[in-house]
Amino acid sequence: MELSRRAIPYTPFEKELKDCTVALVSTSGTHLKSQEPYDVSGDTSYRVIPSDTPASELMVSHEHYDHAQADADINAVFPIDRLREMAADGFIKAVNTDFYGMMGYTLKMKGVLEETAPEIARKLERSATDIVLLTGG
Amino acid sequence: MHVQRAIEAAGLPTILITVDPAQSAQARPPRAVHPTGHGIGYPVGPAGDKAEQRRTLEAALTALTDPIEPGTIREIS
Repeated sequence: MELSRRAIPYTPFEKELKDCTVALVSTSGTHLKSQEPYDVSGDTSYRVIPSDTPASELMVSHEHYDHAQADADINAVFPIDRLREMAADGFIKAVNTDFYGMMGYTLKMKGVLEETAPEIARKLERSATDIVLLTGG
Repeated sequence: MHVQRAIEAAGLPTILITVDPAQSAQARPPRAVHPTGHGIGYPVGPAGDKAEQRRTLEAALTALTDPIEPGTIREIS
């Protein structure tokens, strides 16, 4: 089903945060150092980032914003450590097994609309995730 | 952002942290917060500032529990 741009999809939130598994999806250009970097001239692809990845194994490939803060501390754009801490101390129940990174810069929006976005949504919908937190760069 | 709309349409509540509310508004986000004082490159908080990052995340997630008109962007500080 394709929604008009004017329509805003909305799912009510009816749980308590402490009972929720949270997934992180970020268009900040974050990926594992061992993964192929994004094509900084434009890229519709995404990377699966296991939520138990040490922050030191993550990096940003993006040329459309100053990512010096993220280079120093990935949590500035991709708060993987903070979310794990929030799960550990009970503010949320858990973090989802997988987080997702993308670059969020492309001239091929059709590819994002018709492929990348529905694919990530489908994977999250089939996971334990209750809430999805999104960050940009 | 398109990904947020697709996830929300799939039946999962979402919350976007944005530092560019004008641009984000054009994408008609289901739910978004704007942490005032954070700039491009550090939406969650400055590098190394764990307390501020945590505060932003708690405020963003808590915004889910307080329904707002879809498409609006709430300022958090």
